[in-house]
Amino acid sequence: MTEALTDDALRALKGRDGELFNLVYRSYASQVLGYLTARGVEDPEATMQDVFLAVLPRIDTISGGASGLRTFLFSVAHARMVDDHRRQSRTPPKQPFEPEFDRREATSAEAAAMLLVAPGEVLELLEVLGEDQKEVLTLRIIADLTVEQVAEIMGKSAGAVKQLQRRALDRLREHSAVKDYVAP
Amino acid sequence: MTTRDDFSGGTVDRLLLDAGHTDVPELRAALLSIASLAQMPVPAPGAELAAMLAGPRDELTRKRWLRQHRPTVVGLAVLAGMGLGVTGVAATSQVSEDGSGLWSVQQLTTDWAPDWTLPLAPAATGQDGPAGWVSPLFLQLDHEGPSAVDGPAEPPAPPEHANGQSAATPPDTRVLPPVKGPDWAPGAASGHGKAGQPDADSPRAGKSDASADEQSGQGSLQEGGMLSEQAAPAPEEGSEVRGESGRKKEKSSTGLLDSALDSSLDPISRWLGKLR
Repeated sequence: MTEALTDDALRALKGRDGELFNLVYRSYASQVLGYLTARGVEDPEATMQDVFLAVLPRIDTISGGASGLRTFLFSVAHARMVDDHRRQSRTPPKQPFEPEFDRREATSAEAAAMLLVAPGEVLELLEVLGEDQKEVLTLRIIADLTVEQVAEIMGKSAGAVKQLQRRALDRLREHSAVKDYVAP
Repeated sequence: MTTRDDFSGGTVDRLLLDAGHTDVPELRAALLSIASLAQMPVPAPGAELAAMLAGPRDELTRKRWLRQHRPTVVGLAVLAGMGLGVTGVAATSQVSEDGSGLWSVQQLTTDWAPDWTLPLAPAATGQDGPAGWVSPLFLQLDHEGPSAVDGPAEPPAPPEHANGQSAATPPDTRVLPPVKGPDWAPGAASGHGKAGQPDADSPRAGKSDASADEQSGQGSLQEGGMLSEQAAPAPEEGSEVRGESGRKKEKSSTGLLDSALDSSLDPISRWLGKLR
């Protein structure tokens, strides 16, 4: 369970960096990790830690309370994601051997259960969306940001973000309807 | 306490409401599965992050404090070093009250002295007698008295004499015959050696040789009278000038220190500016 970070909690812990860092990390680590995973970052866990390493030392300089902190945090995460995508596009695709993705074996009950909680299915779901649509949806749903915050992070207008969001939902609706139709 | 479930569920519902897809449960399920990514199990923090979470007070805040106060720290260190240097200089180069400065400065002034004391020589010898021989060396003036003794050690006073004499009197009247006594020779040699006036005065010495024969006793006597009158107030002036020169030395030394301080602080401040 992730605690919601409030302005009061931020204010109460001002000056006590250790506790503040812990609270911020506990509050946002899952979301940042989920966002980076959903956006297909190569090593989401390491990138997530990099994001916190970049944000936590500057936490005193962030204004706007919990909302400002969240926007800043996901701005950094967004930048890291863009960097990662650029790096991935430059380097030839790697094909590491992942035993859990090796389909030549019958999946065990445990593996099947793990797949349910694993993000593979969700990532597949997001694959039907365009890059910007994906970004808007992940920032809106996983990072739990408002349209304005997403617009600020992506450098677009709020109207453009709303448009992208609407199209992404339409796309997902078509896909889920087909999937539901195909699924037994 | 609000939880992520409430947040994401609320967000998903709001999203669906905005888009007008409230009646599509499949879409809601899909969005909720996306939202479930926000609750991924977080791995244990890495070493660096764990250190930051554990307590940034010891290492991180110290580094941050140092970075914020780096100009002050460096400036204080530089000023302390400067202060140590200044006190060291003040302790070692104690300027005594009688006007004698550093040994090197003293040596410099004595080395320069013969040039200035040359004009005084005929006056002193002229009073002694009509004997034409005068030594170009200030050492000879030791017989005369305090003015002669002080002669070598008064560098600032002579320029006035020199200028005045050069303007008022022909140069050949002041020139002196070469050393005649063999007993003065070593002194002369040493005096010249110390004097440090090897080339500039050698032509004048030649002139003096040439014109010494032309010079008569009375001319030298008259000159001597003039010069003795001029020479009388010389010691007081010299002492005054020496006092001034001493003060000037102090002033110039402090000025030098200031300028050195400024010039040494300039690159440091530039360096600090780069660091910021």
